[in-house]
Amino acid sequence: MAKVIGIDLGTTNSCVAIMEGGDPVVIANSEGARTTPSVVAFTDTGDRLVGQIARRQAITNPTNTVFAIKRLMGRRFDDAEVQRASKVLPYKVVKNDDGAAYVEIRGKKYSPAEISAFVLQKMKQTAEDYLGEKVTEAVITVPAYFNDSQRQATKDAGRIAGLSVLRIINEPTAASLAYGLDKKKDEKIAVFDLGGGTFDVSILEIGDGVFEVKATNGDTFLGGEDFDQRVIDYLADEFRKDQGIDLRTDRMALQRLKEAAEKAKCELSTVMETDVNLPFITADQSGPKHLNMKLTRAKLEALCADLLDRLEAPCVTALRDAALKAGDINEVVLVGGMTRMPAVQERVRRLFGKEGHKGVNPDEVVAIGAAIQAGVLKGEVKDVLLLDVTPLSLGIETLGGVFTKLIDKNTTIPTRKSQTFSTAQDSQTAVTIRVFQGEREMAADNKLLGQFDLIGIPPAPRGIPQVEVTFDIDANGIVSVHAKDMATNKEQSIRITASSGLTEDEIKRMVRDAEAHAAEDHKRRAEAEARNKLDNMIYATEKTLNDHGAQLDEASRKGVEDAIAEAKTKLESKDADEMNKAADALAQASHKLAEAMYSKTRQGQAGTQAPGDGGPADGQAAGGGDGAEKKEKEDVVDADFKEVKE
Amino acid sequence: MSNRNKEHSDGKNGPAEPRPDHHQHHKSDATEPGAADELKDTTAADASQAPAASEGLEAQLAEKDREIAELKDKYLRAVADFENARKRIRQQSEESVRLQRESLLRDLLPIVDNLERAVGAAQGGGNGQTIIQGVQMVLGSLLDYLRVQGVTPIEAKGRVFDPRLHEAVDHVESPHHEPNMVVEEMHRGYAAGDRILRPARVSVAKGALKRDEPDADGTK
Repeated sequence: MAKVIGIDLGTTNSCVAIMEGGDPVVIANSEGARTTPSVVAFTDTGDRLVGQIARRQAITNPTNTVFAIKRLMGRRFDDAEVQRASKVLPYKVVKNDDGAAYVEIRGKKYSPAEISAFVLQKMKQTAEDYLGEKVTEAVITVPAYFNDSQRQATKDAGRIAGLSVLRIINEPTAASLAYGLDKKKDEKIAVFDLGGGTFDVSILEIGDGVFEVKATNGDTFLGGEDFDQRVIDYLADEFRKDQGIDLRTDRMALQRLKEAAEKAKCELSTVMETDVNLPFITADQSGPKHLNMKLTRAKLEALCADLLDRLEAPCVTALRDAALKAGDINEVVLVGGMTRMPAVQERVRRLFGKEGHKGVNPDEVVAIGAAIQAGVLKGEVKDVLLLDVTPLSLGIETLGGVFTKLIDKNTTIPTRKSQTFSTAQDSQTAVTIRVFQGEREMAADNKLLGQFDLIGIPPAPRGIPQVEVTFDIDANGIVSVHAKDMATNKEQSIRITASSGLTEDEIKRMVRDAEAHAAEDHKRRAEAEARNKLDNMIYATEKTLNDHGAQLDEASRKGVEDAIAEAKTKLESKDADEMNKAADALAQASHKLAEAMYSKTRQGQAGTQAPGDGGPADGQAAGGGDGAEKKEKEDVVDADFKEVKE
Repeated sequence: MSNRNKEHSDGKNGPAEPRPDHHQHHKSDATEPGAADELKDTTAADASQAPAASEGLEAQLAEKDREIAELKDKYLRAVADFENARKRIRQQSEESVRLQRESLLRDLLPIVDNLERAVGAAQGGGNGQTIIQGVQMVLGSLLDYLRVQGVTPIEAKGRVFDPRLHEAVDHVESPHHEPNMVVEEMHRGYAAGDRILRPARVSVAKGALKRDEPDADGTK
């Protein structure tokens, strides 16, 4: 099925994403990177390089390596922006016959659309490699302030790259889509986009699924690189004060310094202080020199204070142009890597009076929004299938008061899960199924949703009957629990409606509680399981002794009896280790018994008497059961749960 | 009344005729060619049994509703199963990544130990040569570890500059190098399998693009 891709064609970097099974997925390129530099280079051997590779040779080939072409898209040569850019761009910007701004590379003229097409081709290829099929359609994003000519140029770029551009959407709109804000009614959204080289702020209005751009503003020469430069200069200046050498004059050192500065800046978004550690950064007659400096978040913010200040004016102007006050803004969306910086987020908070949405990767959020739009256009994203999940685990109480989960929390519904259990006592003819919801290990700590009995189980040794318990949650969240005796086919069930459940807050609290009590819950469960195991061992060994003990000599027989008696005393201890040790000791004794039995005659019976360390291959009556729930009343005893692995 | 009948005669999705009243049923565009005719025949032939016929149709309708509800339920369950499978796979994948990461990190710890020993020895004022030897051994063990992990160094010095393998950070005049050759290696590049882990950082000899300037020693 032909897929439509979403492409963020950025000034510095581009990104491509696609809808997969209802979720947007960013696609990594052949070098393993989730974004691709928007750089195109033409080598003297006639090769055309795109992306990271083009960037790597830029310094050897500056006049033929084209970057930031977005600044020229759809513009006339005489535009102020073009004139300003061409002063700093190392490649040749020329006027085409029709007055449009073109670039000239090795004597050949290219339109900005053609250059961008090379980048789009790489994004297309990236998607095709991932999907294993051809891609012919795309949604491409542009800044909200792009005019008709600029949008048309972007569409042309797509066409040249072999893509039918289903739609050109605004970058702030795409970012809003990524956060699902298209579902909002009559809200005002501010999109704050601080990327590598440019700053854009947009005010949008959303109503009935349609976004309207009310105002745009920004600073086309303010970005993350400027912040990096402040750190580089600070480190270099400090070093020069200290060591008398300016690292910026040494290419090798400067490169390491740049990387270290960017790394430090990023780290300071999560910690208050970081070390900049550059051993052997340079050398002079007296020997090698190291750079080892601490950089605090406070210092970083001080170094960038004026840059942070420059973020304000465009926001204020945009609000004014939109005829809104900061208080009118309902949502703020953060785009671009620099928005990870706490100081930037703080400015946003101050300017708009609220926190920015930042759950989606800010480097990828525009491409993700484009993919969502692509999905909508292709009819993939309909409201039909928004499946719920069950917020808490569901299960039943089993031997020892343990909570045995049948359906894990966050399982998508509707869903069904079955498991087979058995009885805890000999001749038990009924089981009580108690249905619980929650995350604690012991059933009593969870919420009881309901219970019912299944009667008429044919009397049998414990562990022999098979009771299949099935949990079913339908699309509306209604839980049904069935219990069926596989011998008689008798069934009983209970239906629990969703309203017996819990609120969002209660759910969160229960999950938190479970985490807080995890250690002690684990211990209690381990105890219960150890007790069950020991109990089963005792039962099994006693049975074997009763049935076949006559074959043993007096001494061995006594040995086993003693072991059983000893084990029984341990049943009441609350110590899981002690109980497990006792179970092992009993197993040893039981082995002797088995040895004796086998040496006398052949036994074909592989029943419940198997030693606790394995159990017969049929798995049905495995000796090491997970436990059964005991009720006080003798006549109605609850199911013993042995996991019958399918 | 007859319109309604026409809609549900053969139980399949009826023709999309404009309906006088609201109907809760399938809006389908599929038109069964023979359906309308069939129905006409039925109603004509059984005119006298109209009440029975309509009961039969209502029963059929109920049956179809049941079928649809069943199909819908099956479908939703299939989609939910798929989503649950995806969640499981994602979890397994994350777990796998975590385990591999731990394994790699664990292997690095002995190297940290040895470097700490080196620092300790140097601070204790040991013999410079022996310390150097020790540090070289630690370096050797780290390089060995990388090799075992499938990481190989990239050739740069003396090679033609190749942006697939090298990253140029300087463009220099060099009488001893052909244009576009790697002059100096600032840091080594590494490959992991057939992917580049990190390109070599190099300086490249000028002169590749403009052949009009002879190099200092007269070679072009």
